[in-house]
This record gives sequence, structure tokens and C-alpha cells, in this order.
Amino acid sequence: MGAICGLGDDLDVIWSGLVEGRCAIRPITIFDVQGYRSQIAGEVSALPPLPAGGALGVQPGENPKRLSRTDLLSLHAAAAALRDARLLEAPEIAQTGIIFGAGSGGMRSIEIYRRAAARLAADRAAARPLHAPHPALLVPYALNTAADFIARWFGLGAPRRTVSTVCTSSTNALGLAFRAVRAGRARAILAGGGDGLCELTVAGFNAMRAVDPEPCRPFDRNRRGLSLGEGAAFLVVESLESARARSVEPLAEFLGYGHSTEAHHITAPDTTGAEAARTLALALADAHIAPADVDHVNAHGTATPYNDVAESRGLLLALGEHARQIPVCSIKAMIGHCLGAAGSLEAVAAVRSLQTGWIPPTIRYETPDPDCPLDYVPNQARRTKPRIALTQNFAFGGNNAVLVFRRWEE
Amino acid sequence: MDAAITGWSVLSPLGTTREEFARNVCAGRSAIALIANFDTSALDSHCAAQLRAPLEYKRYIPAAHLRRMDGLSRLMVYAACEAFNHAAVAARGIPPERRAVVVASGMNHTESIEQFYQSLLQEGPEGANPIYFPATIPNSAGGLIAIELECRGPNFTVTQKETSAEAALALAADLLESNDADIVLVVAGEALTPVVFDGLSRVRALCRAERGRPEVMRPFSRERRGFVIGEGAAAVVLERADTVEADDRPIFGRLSGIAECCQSTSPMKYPADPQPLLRAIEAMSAECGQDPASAAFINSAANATQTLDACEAQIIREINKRSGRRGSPLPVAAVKAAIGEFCAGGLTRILAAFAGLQAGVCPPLPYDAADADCEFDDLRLSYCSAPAAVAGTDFLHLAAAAGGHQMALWLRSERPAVGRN
Repeated sequence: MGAICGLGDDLDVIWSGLVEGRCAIRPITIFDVQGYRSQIAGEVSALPPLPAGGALGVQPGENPKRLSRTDLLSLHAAAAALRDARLLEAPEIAQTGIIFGAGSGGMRSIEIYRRAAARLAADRAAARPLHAPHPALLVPYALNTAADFIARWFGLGAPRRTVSTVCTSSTNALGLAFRAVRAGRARAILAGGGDGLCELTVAGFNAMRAVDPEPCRPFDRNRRGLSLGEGAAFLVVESLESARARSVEPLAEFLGYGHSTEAHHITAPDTTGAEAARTLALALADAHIAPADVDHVNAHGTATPYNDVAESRGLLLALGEHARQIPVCSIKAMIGHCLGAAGSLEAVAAVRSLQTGWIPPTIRYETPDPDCPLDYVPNQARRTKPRIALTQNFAFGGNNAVLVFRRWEE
Repeated sequence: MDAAITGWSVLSPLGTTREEFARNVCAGRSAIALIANFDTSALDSHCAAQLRAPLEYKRYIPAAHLRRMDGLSRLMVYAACEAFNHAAVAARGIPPERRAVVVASGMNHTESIEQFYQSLLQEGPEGANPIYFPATIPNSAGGLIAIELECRGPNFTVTQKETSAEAALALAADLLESNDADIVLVVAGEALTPVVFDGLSRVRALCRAERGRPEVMRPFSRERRGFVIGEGAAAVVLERADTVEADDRPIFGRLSGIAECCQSTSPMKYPADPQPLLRAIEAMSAECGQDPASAAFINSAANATQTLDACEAQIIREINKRSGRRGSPLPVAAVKAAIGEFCAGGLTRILAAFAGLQAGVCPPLPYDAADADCEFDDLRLSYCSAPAAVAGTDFLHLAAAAGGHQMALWLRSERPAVGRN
């Protein structure tokens, strides 16, 4: 596994930050946010350099300007995951595919281009010296650019897919990778997602008044919306046979995947929780486990008034009273909502919970909400030694996805 | 497992009904023309294959819903509704939970993004309109299709540049194989907007007007100068072929084999090495039991760029050599010459190939002068500059994307694809 987010660019650092309940949500610095209701996000403070090594590395004549913020974050997390899986220098990398979950893609590069083009027009009108924007900034527009860069950088083979279902993008990327490996269509797949902050999403969520001016407080009665974030995370999903052949110890067992569509509203969730419960039931069936087998849920927990209610009701409907007995946490309180990368960052955290026994806290949880009646691990990490963990995400477009992981036991 | 196409629709500059589209494909008409709806005078390129006929969106989409859809969503939803009706999905009572949607688009919702971003640039945060924002998300068309047609199963939006549609078909076939859905509606589309045209022109991806000559697409020809952009949408309903056969329902086409490979090229460059796809095609042939030599023709991905056309020509040459067809090489179609290049155009090309097979012809391409990279002394390839009669029901469909992704599909035309409404 590999990850980068506002808490750091190394998985151990990120994990200790999560367990300690450190908040990475702070003022946005990468563009002007004056006038916005919310001016904070889980921003990555320093973009990582291009990763060294890999099968191909930097090509002669490579133009780094073509790499967007999302590309750089994704390359970094992908390198870490491949290194962790001992695939980076292995010959098997050529038979390893990639499924990338995209959110806004290279939108930040396009925005830089558009603003520069607007300035150019103004300078031309005022007969000032002209500085034309570099057209290479337009290259990352296509959402698959990060997958292409990663595949090229490290010499990955087929399949190569980019799926976008926004907030469930990387959840679905992981689920599709799981299905492909389980069906024998692929031996190993690097799956996950990346999403860099951009004005479009900051402006959009602000315009919809879906953001909290203060760092978000998932499941709390006084929650006022989400905090945005950015980052990338990847997991190598590999058949047990392949991992054993390479003498690599699995980190966890990928047990199941459920995905469905609400077909209800393009942005609003079904607040009865029935649709969330349906997706969860599909995942449990796919994993061949019962509701009582679930020990932990790493929740979507965006801190919007509707999402947290729908999610809590969905858990109650699908798991029954057992839902009240298990720890449900939202790491978005610490790293923000990383959109296309949210699902894979949360999957990484869930797998770490299975490995270490620690459940990260939901920080800033102060006032219980009667409509969110579960155990949200308030403010302090908890050691519970879970055996089975779920992650779930819900997206615009009515797209829901749930993943099921089990602690690795030989 | 074979996937059956049980309904289809196309909204192409070559036709917005199945009949008109088939007629124009078989006649070898090109839809490439000067752009009339926005100014290109500051650019080096001025042509595109654009949809010009107005569509009666209200036939399928309520007016209140239309107001919240951008051009791409309207195209996608309309195409989805047509294919859905063609396959009589609603009449068969397929539960909503068993209806999946896979949308393919390379450029997604640029119109909405531009609209939203312009308001932000001009008026600042206060001017950003919350109504426009949901339409900017890449999967908004998929979500809207789900709402209009009550598809509550899996729903994905796939982007893989010029192989987006083929990747969507592969994902749809996987969903059927894993029993995640009874039907999968695959919708592939692209709406050309000024900002996309401007961007592609500035990164020099498009064929340019030269010395007073307007842009043309001449795949495999010596005179080729790059691609002209296109737009449109197409949709198919995919189901498990064994289920459709058991129900004795009509099958229009059949997807039997999928091959895929990747090359390490930069994001703006096309794959150059023919070997990876040849190896993948060999593996696919072995798996699905189809000999490439039995194809009625090859539906090439040639887009009049130097690298891709040369790579495709090498692939086609090798297929002919290995299957002992030196003397009678397989005819080659290059439908992009008529519809332009666009990321999700693969599905329209597949439907064009079906139309050709139903008429017993290989869709012609405007081939004029031989090029050393696309012609070989030991084997003259069969580029059909006029409609050529072909026998058989199967074809090999090739796809390639800038960035190095390539696919090949084996498809069969099963019965008249035109005429049932």
C-alpha cells in the first residue's frame, strides 16, 4: 500500500497521524480562496518530487510541466505501493495492470492555463508584454492521464482502466481490481485513486453550501458540511497464488465488493438509508459473511447533514442492532474529503486497522445526533483487534460502493 | 462467455437513425466539414465531423430534466433511451437492480465545466452557480441515465482516451460474466466544444489546414496529416448471449473476444510497436476460438496520424501473413475517415462495421496514395477506397489510444441490425 495526503507522504507517518487524531485541515495556499465560505482543506503541504527508479523512470525529453498535481500525488503513492508489494523492480510488474479512480483529474493544470490565457488577453488589450501559457498544461485534462503516467513510469501492463464515479472512484477501482483478480482475468493490479485540489471543486462545493467553514465534524449534531482534501492511495490487489509465488506476505484478504446506484437524485442521497443498506448487503453476500461478522466500518462520514444520517441508517438497516456494537470512524475529520482518492485512502486505513488492531478516531465529535446513533470512536483511537472491516463510500450520481477486508491469517 | 447486443442506437454526423447511419456508412460518405457554430479563425484547424441535425430530446427526456443537462448528457441520455427501447428492456420486466450502465467518454462534461469556470473567472466565488456544478462531474451522464431509465445496478464512467468505448465494453462484459447485472447499457459519447477544439489545436493534436487546403482525414495514405475531431454518441444493450438464445430473442451482434495491451508511450503519442497487440490478438483468438483469417474485414483504428497508421498497417500485414492470406488480404475499414476521431468513437465504429456487414460491404475509406509505412512489397494491403463486397459475419475491431493503450475485439453481426424499431 502507498498513500499521500495532508497528513504526510509516507504511510507510517499518515497512520500515526490518524491514530493520534491529528488534523491536516488548514488554510488553502495553492490558490486564492478569498470570498469562499470555506477556505480550508486537507492540502498536501509540499508536492513530492517525481519518483525515482521504476522500470522506466524519467524519459529523455520528458516535460514535467505535463504532470498535474493529481499526476504527481498519484505517482508518489503508486511508487510507494509498488515498493511495498516488492513489485517495483520485479519482472512481474509487466504483468501488473492498473485501475485508477479519478475525480477531478488534472483540473488544476487546466485552471492555471485558463487563468493565464485570460491574463494574456488582458495584456494583449493593454499592449503589455505577453506571456503565453504553456499548452502542455492542457494535456492532463483527460482523466486517464494519471493512469497513463503511472503505467509508463513503472512499466505496468494490462489491464489499464480509469473509472470515475467521483467520491466512489477509487472504491470502485479497488472493487473492479478485486473482481478481475478473483475471476482470474488478472494476476495483480495496482488499484486506487488520486485527486488534487482545484478551484472547480472548492468553488462547486462552496456554491452548493456543502462545506463547513471550520474543519468538519462527522456525525456530530452540529456538523455543517464537509472539508475538502487531496491525496492519493493505491493498493496492490494480487492473487494469493501470485503473492506466494513471489514470497510476499499479504497485508489483508480482500473479501468482497458491493456496488449499486440509487437512481434517485444526482446529488442528494436517499436519506432512508435503504439504498446504502442495499449496497452493503451486496458486499456482505459477495464476501459470504453475515452482518454479525463485521467488526469495524471505516465510514464515508463526510459531515454533511444528509450523508451522515443516510449512512448511519444504512448501517442499522443492513447490520441490525450489531451496527451499534462496532466502531464506525470517519478519517475525513482529519484529512478532509479527498474525493477520487477518498475510497482508497480509507481502504488503506481499514487495512492498517486490521493489521494493527487500532481504529482511528472521529475527531471533533462532541454532541451526539439522535439521527446518527452509532459508536463513532469519538476523539480517541481505540484498540479492538478487528477481524473484518468494511469501507463504504457514496457519490454524486447516486453511486454507492462497499469493500470488505479480512485480517490476514495464514 | 459471449455478450449479445440486443439493442442499439447511434447519434452520428452520418445519421441519427439506424437506417440513415447505415446508408451513409455503406456509401462511404464523410461528415467532415468546416465548423460553423464557433469561431476557429485564430487556430490552425477549422474542420470537424459535427452533429448538425437537431434532435427531438423531448421525445425521451422531460423538459424539466433537460434544463439541467448539458449537451453531452442530452446526447448520452437520448442514445441510452433509444437503445433501451430497441432492446425492449422495460417490456421484459428486468428488475432495476439488475440494470447496469457503463458510460464512456474521454473529454466528459467540458461544456458544463467551462460554463461554471467562466462564471467563476468573471464574477468570483459569488458568481459560481450551484446549479451548474453537478453537471461538471464526470459521471453525471451515467447518473442521469440511471434516473431516466431506472437503472439501479452498477454504474461506471470509463475514460481511456480513444479506447474509452472499447474499455467500457470490456467492463460491461465483465459485469455480465460476474453476474452483477442482467443487462448492461453501454453508452459512449463525446460533445465537441470550443474549449476542447481550442485545446487540441493548441497542443497540435489536430490535422491542420495547410497552404489553403482544408483538413482531411486520409488514413494509411501518403497524404495523411493527422486527425480531424468528431463527436456523437452510440449505445448498445449487452446481455449474456446464452440467456438471449435460451429466450429465443433477436441478437444483433455478438462480442466474443477481447484483447488488450499497453505500451509505454507519452500521453500524447500513439503506440508504435505492432508486436504487443499481435500477441494479445493471438491469445484472444486461442481463447475465443476465432481465426483472424476468417474475419470479413478489419475495422482499423487508423486516424491518419503517422505513427498509429504505420503501427496498424504492420499489425494488419502480420495478421494476413500469419493466416496465409498474402494473396487475398483482408479488406481494411477506417471509419474514422468519415466520423472523425473522438475518444468514445469506438462504439460508433463498431456499429458502422455492423452496418457494413449487413449490406455485405466493407465500409470504404478515402485512400488515395500509397505510403511506404503502410504498404509493403511482400503484401499489398486491401484498403477499400470504394464499397467492397465482403462475405462473412465476423470482424476484428482494433482500437488504440494516445498514451499506449490498445485493444482488439472480435465481433459478429448476427442478423439485420437495421429495420427493427
